Amino acid sequence: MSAVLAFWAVSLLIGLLAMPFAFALLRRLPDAGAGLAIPLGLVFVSYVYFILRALQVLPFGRGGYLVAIALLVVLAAAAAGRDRRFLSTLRRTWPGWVAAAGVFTFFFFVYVAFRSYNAQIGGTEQPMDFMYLNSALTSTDYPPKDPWLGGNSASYYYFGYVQTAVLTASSGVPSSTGYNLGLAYTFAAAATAIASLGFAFARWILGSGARNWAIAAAGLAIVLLLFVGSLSAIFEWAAAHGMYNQTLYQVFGVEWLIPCKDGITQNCFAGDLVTRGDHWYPAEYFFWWRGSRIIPDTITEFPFFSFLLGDLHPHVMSIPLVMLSMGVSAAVWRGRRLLAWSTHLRQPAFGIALVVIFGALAFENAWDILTFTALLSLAVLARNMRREGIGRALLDTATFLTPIAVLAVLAYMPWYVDFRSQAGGIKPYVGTGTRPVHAFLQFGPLLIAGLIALTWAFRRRDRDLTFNVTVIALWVPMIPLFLWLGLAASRGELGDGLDARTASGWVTLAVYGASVWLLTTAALVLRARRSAAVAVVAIAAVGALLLYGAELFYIKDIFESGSPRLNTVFKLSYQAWMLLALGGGVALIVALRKASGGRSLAGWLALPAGGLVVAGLVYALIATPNRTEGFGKDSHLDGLAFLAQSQDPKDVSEYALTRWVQAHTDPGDTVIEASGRQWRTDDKGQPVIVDGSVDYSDAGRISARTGRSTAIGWYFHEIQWRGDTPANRDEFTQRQAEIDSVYTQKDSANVLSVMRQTGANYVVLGKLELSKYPAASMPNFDQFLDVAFQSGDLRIYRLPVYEVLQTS
Amino acid sequence: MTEAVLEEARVETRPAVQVPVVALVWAACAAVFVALRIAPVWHTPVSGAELVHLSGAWQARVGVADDRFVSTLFQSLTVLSLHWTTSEVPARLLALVSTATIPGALYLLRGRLGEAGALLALILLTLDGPAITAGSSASAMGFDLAITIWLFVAMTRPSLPVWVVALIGFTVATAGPIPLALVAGWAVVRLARRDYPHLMSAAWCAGGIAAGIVLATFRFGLGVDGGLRVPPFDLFAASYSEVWSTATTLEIAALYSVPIIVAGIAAVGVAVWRMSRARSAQADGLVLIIWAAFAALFFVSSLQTHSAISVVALTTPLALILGPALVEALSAMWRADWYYARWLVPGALLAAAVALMFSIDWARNGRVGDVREQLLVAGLCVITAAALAILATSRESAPTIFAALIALVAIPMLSAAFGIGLASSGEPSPSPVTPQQARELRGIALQTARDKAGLIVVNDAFKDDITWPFRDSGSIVVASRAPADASILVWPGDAPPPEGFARLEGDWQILQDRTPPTGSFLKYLWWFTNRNVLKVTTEPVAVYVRAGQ
Repeated sequence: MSAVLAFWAVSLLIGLLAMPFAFALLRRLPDAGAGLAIPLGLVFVSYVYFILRALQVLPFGRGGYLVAIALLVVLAAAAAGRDRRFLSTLRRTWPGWVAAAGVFTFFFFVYVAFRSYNAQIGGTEQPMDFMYLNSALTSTDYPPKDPWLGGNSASYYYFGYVQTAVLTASSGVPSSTGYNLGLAYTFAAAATAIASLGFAFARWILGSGARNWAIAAAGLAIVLLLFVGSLSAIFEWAAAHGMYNQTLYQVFGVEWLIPCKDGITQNCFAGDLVTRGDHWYPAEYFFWWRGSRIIPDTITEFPFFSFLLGDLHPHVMSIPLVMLSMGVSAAVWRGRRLLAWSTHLRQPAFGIALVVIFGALAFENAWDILTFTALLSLAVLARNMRREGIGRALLDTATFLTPIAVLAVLAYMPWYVDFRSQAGGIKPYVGTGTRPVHAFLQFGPLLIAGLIALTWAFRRRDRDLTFNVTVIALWVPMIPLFLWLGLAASRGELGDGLDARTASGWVTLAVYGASVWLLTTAALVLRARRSAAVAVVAIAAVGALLLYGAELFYIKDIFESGSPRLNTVFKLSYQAWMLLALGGGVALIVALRKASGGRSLAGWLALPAGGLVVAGLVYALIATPNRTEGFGKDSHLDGLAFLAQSQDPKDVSEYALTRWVQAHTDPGDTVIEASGRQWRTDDKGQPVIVDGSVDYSDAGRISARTGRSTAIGWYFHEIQWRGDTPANRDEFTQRQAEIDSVYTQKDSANVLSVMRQTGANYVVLGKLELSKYPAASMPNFDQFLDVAFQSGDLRIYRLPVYEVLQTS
Repeated sequence: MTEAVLEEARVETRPAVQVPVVALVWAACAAVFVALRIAPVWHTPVSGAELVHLSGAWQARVGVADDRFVSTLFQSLTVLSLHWTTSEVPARLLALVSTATIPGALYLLRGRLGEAGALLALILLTLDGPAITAGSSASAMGFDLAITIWLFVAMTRPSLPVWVVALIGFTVATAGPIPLALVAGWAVVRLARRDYPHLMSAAWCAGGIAAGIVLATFRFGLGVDGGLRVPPFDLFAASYSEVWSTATTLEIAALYSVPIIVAGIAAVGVAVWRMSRARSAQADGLVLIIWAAFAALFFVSSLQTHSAISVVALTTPLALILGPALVEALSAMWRADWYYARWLVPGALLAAAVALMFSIDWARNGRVGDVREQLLVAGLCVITAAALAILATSRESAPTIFAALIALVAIPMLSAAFGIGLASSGEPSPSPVTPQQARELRGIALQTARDKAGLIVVNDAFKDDITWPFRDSGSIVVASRAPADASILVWPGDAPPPEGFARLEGDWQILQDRTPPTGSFLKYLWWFTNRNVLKVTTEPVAVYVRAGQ
């Protein structure tokens, strides 16, 4: 419990320290940035830490993190000192600060309570996330190393891990607990941030007299972002209770939930029906996984799924930062003075803050940089257009943003130097389109909540204006479509593309396109009316545009040959979810307000939309008890405790072995552990590989759990991070072969040679090594290495020490 | 008699030199301050952070790269001293000389703290156990206390010559972590109040810092080892990750510094309350409070680490805050209504003393007494509390409680201060220590190696521990397995005996850990009344010589 309290207190402290920065950047928001202060403070302190570590000013270890926080205090004092309205702003907004702290605290402990029933760091990509967190914590040099490719720096967007490391180290929490508390922080900070934004937008639209409605908007935005899930959960629940309606299931594209008939195993449920329905919730193991794979050959993850699963991935950790960037954009949009080149001369600190925040978007989750800097650009342009014509406004916007863009790259240069983006350009998607029912199941509640804005955005007396902007707005969905046609035609894929999409795919595209068109029209009308609602509708329009764009184009990456748009749909729909949660949450509350006043019949349409939102909560309702086994599991927060508590003595020894490595080896040490490939002895007694797959396994587990380097971890992930080139394949395969030779060749000279070559001082002989390599082919390590640790059969060997010390 | 005769008589009776009483008090306090730091220079075994840093300094002296060398100005001067002696005493004397200037600095602070306040602050620093160790040991932070206090003196001056500003920048950049909290506090106050330093001063200060960092990076001429070095940051970080003490920070604070910390925090609370009521604050007062706040964060965040540094970092500003506050408290006590207190205070103390005697008896026996005794002790405690509570109910008599509190606090503070100040082996801090035997072991090893013409081999488990006691011993092999050409092995006592070697009789030691008497109040109490009961643990060391030669 002390770990939880320390982590929570440090999070709040960092948020409190960011108060002067929040006032300076976000004063336009009703709470003056209270709800965004925690991610703001964390971004600043993490950046200070990262850059000063890279410049070798800060030392390795916990002290370095604490110095970074102390520097934040000094910077905050400087910001407070320069802010002549600091005290008056504090007096005006202190209830907001109290509320923000309360919301953060509530959601932090709610998530901690949930995660404590499911704290294990294992499965899916959690070992990889844990590896990066440990790397951020234990790298003796910065930028952090890639422990799964000894001798190399990390080539990934890992700023989220640096942020979690800041909280973990400064609160003095072990990384295996910090991982889970990092998730809790992200959950709580996301809730606080979107509540702040939802409240701000609703208040701007509804006025200060509608405080309770603004609070409702904040609450609904939280629900949409963090609790709504795929509507497929309703069918999951019904199917688990044996309620099948073949036609209905087929109409909604969930026929794979209907039990298979004899002889058929495709596109039907082939699992055990007994275990599926012995609780009030579906009891089938990981049934909720399917909710993130509704659209075939894509990932349609959404925030609740992410937090349920517990992968500490960049796209999850970036939610608070994305919200912060939207908050800054909103504050920029609400400002009055012209933003141009001269602004930087007048207010250099403002530009520096934008550099740090928006530069961090790429570093935290590279996919976010384009979308959310585009929002900032729109905000700056909209602000400037209030003061000048569009031509001049565009020029000033460009002169204001260009230095920020350049400096944002320079500020994060130590990361860019090592980062190898695997994006290979944008290509037209010419495969099967998304079925409308799948789109509905996945995005229905949010998209419809966003579209509700259409019910109150238009007024009868603006008919001429609406007609005029409708034509302009039509270009927004048409330009990407023409681009798609052109690109597909130029590649000779137009015919195939038109056919492959199928009729249902075109319907989905049309629905998305129409949504973009209508929302853009509404935004332009509202802008012409100088309504504060324009931002909300524009945010919803951008959300719809992302869904639309992911139907037309994809970013070429390593998955191109099998599932070309897998990552594109995944990452863009995740962004769309965040945007629609905010836009939809506020739009729905505004509609309900109008309905409550009896002023707008259209407002009553909000009720069925609200019903859909409620239906979207079924996923959370039934998946949570499934994940926690009805909250019947042991409750703790140590992500490695599952090993210590295992019935298998080898797991218990693995736990002890891991802790020994953490405590007794230097952070810069390299260990040799199983590559993960399965070996056996053939008929001639020679060791041969029987299974070469290593990803998503325990391969590299000691490295992941301790941050110590190993020669090679997850092979395919390294390919994803560094590129699928012959040179990389050769190098990684060579490393695997060398590691395997340590365990499959009896020659001690070979072992010592590999240890020298990889810089390793230790050889792990743990549970994985004993299971992956035939015992008969292993060398007798005892003969030529020292036993540094032993627990049961498991051992850690160390190179014998012989060193001549000069003492005079 | 005429006026002239009277004047002549007056002149004859006037002493030749007039010495104000207050000056005598200052001189006496300063003498005690220094006196309590003299014995450790010669009699305390090399221990704690000092052991780590002297080892690092020795490695630097012989040209071996070692993380334990942190290039503070003090550490570099220590290396210099090791060029002409292998003793730790000159380096300790260097620390003592710098620390001995602290009474002078406090004398200069009379204007800010008041005459009596400054004196009381000096007395508090004199009696703070961890501060005694920090001010008289040859750790890399040997100058830290003096730098910190003098830095505060400098900050209270309206203006300083630019060369002094540069010197300040340099000394802070080449010091340890203790001044950091003050620097941060000062920066926060100045920046928050828009009281920016003059551009020229800032430039000189930055120049001094840069010079310090450059020199530290080049290790004061010993060569570059790794990248940029910022010693205060490096040592701050090391205080979290390294074991500079057997006891944890919390244990050290509990054993030695509770009175200053608790009373200091109360004094900070009162000061903050007064400032908020007055809606104004003097910059110096604010600096003190923010300094204490930073130090408190340092202290709280390091409670479970093994270092006394954050305790010293906290007690230093608290002593400066507490000094003037104590003056007020004592003055209020003096003016208070003692009508009832003259009976109740001694009565409460008597009851507490009797309860304590029973508790000491329990501590001696290692168990709590029977129910009758327990009831008696509980009753005595209730009487003590009730007596003090009665006094507290009256505004006029409440300050007399201080008398009881001072009496209760003074005894443990004095015993701790004299324990450390007189280099008693019954103190759990500083620890771990290198016993004299470790040096004797080195003598035996050298002799054996000479006689048998072989190598001295030390097991790698002791690699770091032997640097200091085995200094100046020529070449030593550190190995995990006994080499064939070894003549003497220094080996873990619980490891299997190496083949071909005979064990040398005796219980050998390289390091001693003095385990703090924490865990239960009775344990503490027993140690408090009888320092000899301190538990000392050592890692068993075996010495083997090659058999049959």
